Amino acid sequence: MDINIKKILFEELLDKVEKPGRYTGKEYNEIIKREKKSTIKVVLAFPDLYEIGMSYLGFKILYEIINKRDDALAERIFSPAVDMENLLRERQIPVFSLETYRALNSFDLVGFTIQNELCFSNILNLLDLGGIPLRSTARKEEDPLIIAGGPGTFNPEPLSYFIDLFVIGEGEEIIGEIIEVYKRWKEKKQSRSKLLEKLGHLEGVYIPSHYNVDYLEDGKVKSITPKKEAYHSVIKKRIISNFDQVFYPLYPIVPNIDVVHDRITLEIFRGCTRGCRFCQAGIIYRPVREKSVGTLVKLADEILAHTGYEEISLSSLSSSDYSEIERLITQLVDRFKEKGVGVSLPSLRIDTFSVALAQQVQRVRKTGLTFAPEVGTQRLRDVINKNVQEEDLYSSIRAAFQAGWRKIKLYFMIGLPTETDEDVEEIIKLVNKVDRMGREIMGRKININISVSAFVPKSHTPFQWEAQEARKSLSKKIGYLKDRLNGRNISFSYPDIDHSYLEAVFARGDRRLGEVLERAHYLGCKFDAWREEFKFEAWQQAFVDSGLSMEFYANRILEDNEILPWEHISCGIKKEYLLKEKKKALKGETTPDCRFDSCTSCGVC
Amino acid sequence: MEQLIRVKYSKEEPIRYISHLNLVQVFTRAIRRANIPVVISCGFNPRFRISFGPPLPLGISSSSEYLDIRLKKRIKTEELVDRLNRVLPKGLKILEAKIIPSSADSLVKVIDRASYLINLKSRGSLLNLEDDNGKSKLKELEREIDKDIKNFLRLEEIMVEKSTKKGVKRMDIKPSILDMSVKKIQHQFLELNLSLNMGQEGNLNPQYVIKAWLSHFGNNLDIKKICRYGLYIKGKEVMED
Repeated sequence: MDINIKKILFEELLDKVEKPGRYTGKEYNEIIKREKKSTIKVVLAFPDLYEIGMSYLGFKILYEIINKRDDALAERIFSPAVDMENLLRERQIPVFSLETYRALNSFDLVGFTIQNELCFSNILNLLDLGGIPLRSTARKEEDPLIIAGGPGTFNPEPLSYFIDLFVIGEGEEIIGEIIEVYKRWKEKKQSRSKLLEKLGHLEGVYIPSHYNVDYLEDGKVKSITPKKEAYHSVIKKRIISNFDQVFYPLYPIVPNIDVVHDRITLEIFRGCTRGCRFCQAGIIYRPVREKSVGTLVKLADEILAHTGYEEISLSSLSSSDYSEIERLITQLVDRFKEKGVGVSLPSLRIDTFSVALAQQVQRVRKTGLTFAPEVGTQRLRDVINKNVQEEDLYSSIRAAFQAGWRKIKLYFMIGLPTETDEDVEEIIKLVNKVDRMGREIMGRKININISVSAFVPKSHTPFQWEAQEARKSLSKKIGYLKDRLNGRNISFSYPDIDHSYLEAVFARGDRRLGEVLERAHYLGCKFDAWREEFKFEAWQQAFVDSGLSMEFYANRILEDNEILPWEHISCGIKKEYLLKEKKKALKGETTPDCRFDSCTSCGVC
Repeated sequence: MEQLIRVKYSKEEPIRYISHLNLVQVFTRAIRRANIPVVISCGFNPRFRISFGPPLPLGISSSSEYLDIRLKKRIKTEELVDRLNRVLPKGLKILEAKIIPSSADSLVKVIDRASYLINLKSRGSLLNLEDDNGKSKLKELEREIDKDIKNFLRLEEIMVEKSTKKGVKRMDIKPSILDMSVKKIQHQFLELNLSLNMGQEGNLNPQYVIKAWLSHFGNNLDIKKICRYGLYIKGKEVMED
């Protein structure tokens, strides 16, 4: 391609788009490598806007790991917003990297980060904008190898037609192994199928074209079989064993424009054993592995010196569960106070201990504390295994008011298995009680921010067999809550149920959904997570055109013994454990956290 | 001993594509990377005591922007310039720095004039240069444009529509225009010099002036680039004050 993308971008396109800062690159810590002919060129592709992608830790980790190598380089590509996409299409300019303004199809490897199902259509759109054939089978020797990884690949099946290779699990080690294999293959100038054969031997690599999937007449999966005996029958996720010492990005790029998480992210531990039965992250990131306080303080020191951020955010699935959380916070707060650098603690559990922690890090301005009661009744809280007692909930909220917080955020989920009208009614009572409590303690009205989401059954969870509630009744419940929680001091945010519905369809989808995705792409579907771009009618049309039913995927209770579309993908957790957890859930029995109680035999250790 | 330092910097590609609010963020982080001993405000949300000159609209570049930094420890101005330049992202460069009285008025309070260079490109050729008389024709054209600008500036009022959050607002921009003239003319390009009033009544984005003139002049010209090259206090460039 002979067009000078950089010239056109700077001379003609940037002045015509909203937020041009998304497309310029050249931020502090960006890496532009000197390259040789033999350098393996990798582009990390994020199927959403710059502001979203630049907030994602996994993306930063891979960027630095690859760029540290002598034999490879990594650049970045994000989905252009619709205004920029229109200009690119009009001018027939391919989507390009921010480092060297190179077209997507001029790289050796394209690595997509997949966070969730609502970015699938953006992957197809990026391939299309990059001049790469959508289907793996249509790609030629000169096309890049298309890789995908991230939490969204634990049910990779709906993307099987479009992705050459999935990485299942943690990417820190395997990315190097893939580059090594690729390099040797490139030197030998062998065929593309030979490359896939070789990569297929790596643990954690899933090559969908190496497997046959057959279906029963009723649409369920009949069998998933490797095409050759040499292929893995089950693909096991990659796990970093020495998490304390594993590579951590010390020079993260500092964006010039606002991004969603614009701060230092310090990953204090990975994994969670709380065992909430709807939560996929709580399963797929197991086992729990911590970094030591010493390592974390050292990392914080270095990253701060390299970035100048004003905030360090301790990241994990449940920060107050870190074994030395108090010591860590004390050390970080004391060390960085002088420099005007604060510490923040997202993902806190509901207990008074967490409120005390929050108080310690809160830089006086009480912005708001978040609690996730999830549901309205203790019965349902036991069903989902949110191991929190009603009294704990109220005493921690009381503690928050007493400590001076005037704004409380409450998260709820509706449509969970066994939910009744009473459970929904009790959400209202709970909110009213918190409201009264706040007024009594603070002597005036407090602000309550309520956020409701709809349950989406996800693969690899105890609730993977459960159905999503029908759209109509979910909408009705939301409407009811909205009408009843209308106090002036209460703000209520809720999802568009159609998004949750599509998410549920793809979360438990099989390979056949590839046809639907392709059809939806041609009908213009993209940015499905963004209200203003979401085209639900087009999606419905795509399903009709492909002869598949959305209800079949979203609203069906799966049988205990049926073959799941992701049966061959293992996150290390035994299916029997998940099944046992599901059965306990339906009986309202809880399972304690194995960190503080006996082993649950989930199988990961 | 506290010390106030006035810094002059340029804002070029690609930083001209970020907003003023983002620029403040970018500078704050660079100052922290450079380990500059800035005074941190006490209060609920500790902030660096730095204060900027009038915001530059997104997309406009500048060779003369200013920033005041309040230091809690004295450091040499050359050292400050050097340390900052080592950690600034591409497109930002500190040009010079000088110590000013600790009680000096803020930049936004005292800056009263700004000068811009406007580059315009014609969709066709302004005139045919292969013509032997190219040069003299160019002169002629320049005179014509100059005359047109004078007529434009003689208008009683120059109304433009400004879209704000509250909707479209009509306003007269004439009081903000100090001067406008042709700087350079070539076969496809026209460069204009524009001076605007700055101050309490708000700062006018030069694009409004040019767009208003273009709709008046009716030529096939597009704005290619705008550069702010001077900010002044009572007729003197800020650093000379």
